[in-house]
Amino acid sequence: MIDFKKGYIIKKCDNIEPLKEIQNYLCKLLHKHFDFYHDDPFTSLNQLHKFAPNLNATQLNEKRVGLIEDFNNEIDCSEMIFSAFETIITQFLGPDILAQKKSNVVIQMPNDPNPSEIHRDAPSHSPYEIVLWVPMVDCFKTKAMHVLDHQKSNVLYDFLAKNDDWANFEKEATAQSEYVPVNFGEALIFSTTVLHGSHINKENETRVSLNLRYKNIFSPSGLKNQLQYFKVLKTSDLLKIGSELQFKKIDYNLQKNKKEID
Amino acid sequence: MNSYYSCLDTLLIAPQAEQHDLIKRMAYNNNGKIVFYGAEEYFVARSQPFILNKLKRTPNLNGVIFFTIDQFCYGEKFNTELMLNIVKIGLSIHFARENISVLNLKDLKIKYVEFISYYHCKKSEQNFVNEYYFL
Repeated sequence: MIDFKKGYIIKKCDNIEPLKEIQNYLCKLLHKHFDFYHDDPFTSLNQLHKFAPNLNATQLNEKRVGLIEDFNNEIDCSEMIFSAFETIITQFLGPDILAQKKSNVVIQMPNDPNPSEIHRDAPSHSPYEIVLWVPMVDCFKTKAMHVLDHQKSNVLYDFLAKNDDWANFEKEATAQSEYVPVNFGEALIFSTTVLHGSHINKENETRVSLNLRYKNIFSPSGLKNQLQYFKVLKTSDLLKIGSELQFKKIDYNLQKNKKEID
Repeated sequence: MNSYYSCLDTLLIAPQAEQHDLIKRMAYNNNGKIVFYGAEEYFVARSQPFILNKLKRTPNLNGVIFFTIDQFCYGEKFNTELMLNIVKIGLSIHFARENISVLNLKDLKIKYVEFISYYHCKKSEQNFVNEYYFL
């Protein structure tokens, strides 16, 4: 049984190869979109801000958008991340799994003034989903994410519900949150109910990370349209047998009713 | 060029023009065009009693495009019967908002588990939202 009382854990992958493949592919795209080349993937990613200097926020964003589109069009990231972390994902969700169709790629250069404000993904996302935050480089201190555990997140949301005071909520959440160092080859796995975010990256390295979500096929969905947002990743034989029987029964009843009418 | 029947969602609070746009795009992406428009009567839209006969009466159709799969989820159970009846008269079924197509009976059997899971999860979520947010 996974100890998930905090609402988040850091887990090492079962298989590094899919992560290396994603990392190499990302580098290829970075070289194309940011117009540079370096043969070491860690240098390409960590030093991206040096290879692509003098970009204003709009130019940087345009490049990011183009890169994310190419990335999702050309590789099946959710399948690859799943194969890297299959044991833990299956322990969380069982054998019948939906995966987010498109992966988010986040590039946070040093001193980028637009970090991700503290927030939680539920309730627009299902509280039964897990988020895998997978860095493509080693992340530490301000280059890493900061997270509040499940209990602290709940206490703060109770405070917000009672006082309707977002400014103090945010201040308190930021003060209580902890940086979570995560290395390449590991994932930060967290519940959609815990508060998380990032600060301005004050380290001298660029952070490149992916995030994507998985849920059990029959757990309640969030407010997002499940068929638009997720795809079926794995189904067990038991589920196939069950749904086949259900389908046959409906078809049989239809045929029976039709005969009776005829 | 394929010919599709367009079936709007009567129960959705969304401008019909938006529904038409997405449905038209879905037809275009499936190498076709909309040749007829329709929608269920508001008071019976949950069970969709009219669409099958409309499809049978409309000649030279290749398929029907619904705005959303939710049109099969408004009733007490997922409306598999209607889907089965449509594919059994040789028409494909498409959902514009979800960008999902059911091409034939075999395809429906494959996608069925995804549809019932969607229905189940959506209903559970509605119950959760109702209990949690509208106490």
